[in-house]
Formats: sequence, structure tokens, C-alpha cells
Amino acid sequence: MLRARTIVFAILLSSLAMASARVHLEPEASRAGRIRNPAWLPNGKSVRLASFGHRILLADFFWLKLVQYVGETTLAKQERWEALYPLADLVTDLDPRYGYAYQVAGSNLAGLAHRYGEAEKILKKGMANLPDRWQLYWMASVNKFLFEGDYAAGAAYARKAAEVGKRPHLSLLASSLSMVANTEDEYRAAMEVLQESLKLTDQPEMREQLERRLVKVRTYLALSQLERAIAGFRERYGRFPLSLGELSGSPYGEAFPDPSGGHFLYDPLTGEVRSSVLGKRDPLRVGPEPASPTVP
Amino acid sequence: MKTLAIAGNTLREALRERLMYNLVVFALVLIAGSLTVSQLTVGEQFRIIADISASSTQVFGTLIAVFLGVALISRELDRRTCYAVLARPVSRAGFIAGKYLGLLATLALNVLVMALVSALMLLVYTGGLGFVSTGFLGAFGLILVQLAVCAGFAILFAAFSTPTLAVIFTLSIVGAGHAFSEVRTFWLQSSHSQVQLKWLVKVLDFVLPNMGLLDAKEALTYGDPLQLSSLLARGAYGLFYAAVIVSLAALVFSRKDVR
Repeated sequence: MLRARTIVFAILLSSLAMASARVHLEPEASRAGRIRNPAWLPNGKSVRLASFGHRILLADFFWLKLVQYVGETTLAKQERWEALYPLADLVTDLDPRYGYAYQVAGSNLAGLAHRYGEAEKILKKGMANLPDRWQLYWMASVNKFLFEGDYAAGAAYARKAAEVGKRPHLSLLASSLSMVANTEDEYRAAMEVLQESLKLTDQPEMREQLERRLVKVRTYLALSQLERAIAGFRERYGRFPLSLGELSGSPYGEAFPDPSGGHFLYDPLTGEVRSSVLGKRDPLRVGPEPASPTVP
Repeated sequence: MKTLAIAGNTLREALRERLMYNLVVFALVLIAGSLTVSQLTVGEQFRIIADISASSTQVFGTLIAVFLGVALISRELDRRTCYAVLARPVSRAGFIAGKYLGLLATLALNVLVMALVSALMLLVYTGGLGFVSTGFLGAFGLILVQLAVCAGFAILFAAFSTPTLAVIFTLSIVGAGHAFSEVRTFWLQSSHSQVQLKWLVKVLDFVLPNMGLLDAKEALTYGDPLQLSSLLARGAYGLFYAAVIVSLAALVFSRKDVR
């Protein structure tokens, strides 16, 4: 029979050996569970079939992996984001109603990973599965105008967000983006969404903002049409028209009141046209609407 | 009356099982741990706590139903303790029904304890009782119905095979019930779906338990309101399915040579 002292000695020796081996294995332990390659991830539909009624729990598991992956990749300052879209796709295959996952993946794929195609793909998947979740359209709008510089597409998504979410303030964003996109079609779309939003709100402050923006968009549309007519005139005759009345085919003249309540001012030397109330068309100003200046 | 006496005795016997307490403790630790796990995510903590709680209740409840259900019958046969009962004016069907009802009462107690601990975790997280909805009650109520079906299969298989095989058969059929509820949608939606496949779906719809219909965890996760009529219909489906299985078990046990 072994003596107690021998057994204690054996325990201590084994503990020492185990601890030294454990310290030696630390790099491997730290790497375990990390996703380095999207090929390691299983197929969402297969996992769903094999989830035995626990697909939502599995979605949570892979969601935690996604959060961990974003954190690790950001902290490591790596530019390797290959697994982010496959992870988000897997999570949302397992739980197609996981709205927050579409949002977070859509935002980080564009903002951190600069993988705009994948960001749009996951957000579109979300829009197909959760057509009433306005945040997805809003996120797609932000990605389009902020990261891709595509203001028309950004405006279209913002309009959809305003419509789906019944959020009038989003139509202000949509109209700002439409003005930056600076096409007549965009101005018309902006007017439409602002008019719809006016029907949705009875808050005086919001109504005032929307009405002021509507006037601005109408004025800018008119100015845009005038600018185009002036440019066409110049191209045809090699000079600027002497007055707005000289523009054939344009409904506007100097006496025509502009939608902002003033009239159009035209400089025949420079060909510049502006509103007596809102001034020059300045499509790049996307901040909050300033109070209307008094009509001179 | 005799059946109820057997059920009461089975409940007392089950409450003395060490295996059940081990599983319940595991489940409770997991449910309580969900509060810690939820800290690992960015947002959506509620769903993590709710999902882990409901899934733990379902998984451990299934294991208790299967292992306890098989043990309650096979032990009676191995130790020949059922002879003493069957020697009295008690039908074999009554014996099986009593065993089943006792097991069901045990499972109901387990689900109640796990649901209360889950509610406590959600209460700690949300700071209110706003989560107690038809979704919460429906999710845990339907888990109990699922367990009733599992227990039915456990008793059926234990009535004619060895304990090991009975556990394997029961877990397989319960797993198949879960998998089928997912697969049938794909099969029916598939454009290549052949006529034979659709017939197979129709047959399996009545043969296999559709565990997806008895699963309202998603309603708990998203706080969906559940229609009372839908809840009652699902509950009735599960309980009548279990009744068929227990009746089959009674039939098998009536013809079994227990010498």
C-alpha cells in the first residue's frame, strides 16, 4: 500500500507537469474557437435542418461568434473581414427574423470592412425577410450616401425607410440626399415623400420643417430647370439669354413668382439664376433647415 | 382511482430519482448562467436569456422524460415489482396509464421550476414583468406538451425493448420529429418536389410528431402574441398524439409476457 506522503508527492509532481504543459499550450488555447476562414463555417440551411428545434439558440451562438469576430478583427487592426458576411448569412439563415443581426452586419460590412456589395446583400436579405423593419432601409441609405457617395440610391432607401417606418423626419434626410443627387427626378421624388410625410404628422415643429423643406425642394427644382434651360440656350446661341423671358420653352420669367414666395433673379453676364428668398441653388447643404429669411 | 394511485406512487418514486435532480440542476445552472452569457453580446441581451432558458428547459426536460420514462417501466419489469401491482385487480392498460400520468406530473413540476427560474432571470434583466405574455406562457406550456409526447414514446419503447434501445429509439423519433418540421417546408417549397415526395410528407405528417408545431420559443424571443385558439389547437394536437402513443404502449404491454 502506498504511503500518503508518496501519493501527495505524486499529486504535486503531476500538478507541476500539468501546469507547465498548460502554460506552454497558451498560444494554441488562445487561437481555439477563432474564425480565420469563412470556409470553416457550416452551411446555414444544413445547420437549420440539424438544429432539432433549437435553430434560434444556434443563431444566438453564431451571433456571439460574429460579435467576437468584429471585436477581435477591430482590436487586431486586421484588414481581414472575409468571415463577417458568411457569419451574418449563417445567423440570418438560422433566424431570418434576427433584424438586429442584419443591421449590425450591414453597418460593419460597410463602415469597418468596406465591403459594400456584401453590406447591401445582407441588408437586402433583411428587407426581403423583414419588409417592415425601416432601420434596414435607413442603414442601406447611410451606407450608400456616406460610404459609396451614391446619393440617389441613398435617397431612394431613405424614402423607403420614411414610408415603411412612417417616420416623417426620415423624409427630411431623403430630400436632403435628393438635393445632393441633384436631378429633376430626385427633386420630384423628394416632393412626393415630403407631401406624404406631411399627411402623417400633426406635430407643429415637424410640419414646419417639412413644409419649409418642401418649399426649398420646389424652388430648387425650378432653379434646376432654369439652369438647364439657360445652359441649353447658351449652347445653341453661344451667349447667355438677356433675360429669363428670352428662354423659349421655359415656363419661368422674371415676373414669375418662385415657390419660396419671392422671385427669380437673373444675371445675364454670368448666366447665374437665384431665388430672391433662398438664394443660389446650393445642393450640398444637408444640415437642418434654417428659418426662412424675410422676403426682400 | 387505481390508476391515480399508481400515478401518485410513480410521482413519489420519480422525485426520489437522483438522475432527475442532476439534470434539473444542470438546466437551472444554464438558465442562471444565461444572464452572464448575455453580457457577451452587443444588444439583444433579452433574446439570449430567453433563448437559453427555453432551450435548456426543452433539452433537459426531454432528457428527463426519456430516461425517467424508460427507467420507470424497465425497472418494474427487471425487478419484477410490477407483479405485485398486476396481481391485484389492476388492468395492464391502467398500470401504463398510471405510470404515464405520474411521469407527466413529474415533468410538469420540472417545467414549472425551470419556467420560474427563467422568469426570475428575465425579471432581473428587464426589471419588470412585461415579458410575461402569451408568448412566455405558450412557450413553456408547449414545451410541457412536447415532453408529454417524448414521455409517451419512452413508455411505448420501454414496454417492448431493452432500456438502451428504448432510449435510442425515443431520442431518434423525437429528433426526427424536430427535423421533419423543418424539412417538410423545404420539401413542399422545392420546385423539384415530386408527387411521391408530397405523398411522403402527407404520410409523415400523421406518423411523426411535428415538434415544430409544439414549439413557441420564437414567440418568447420576439414577444409575439399567441392566439389562444392556436395555442389550444397545438396543445390538443400534442396531447392527443401522446394519447395515441400511450394507448399503443398499453396495447403492447397488455400482450407482453411478463413472466
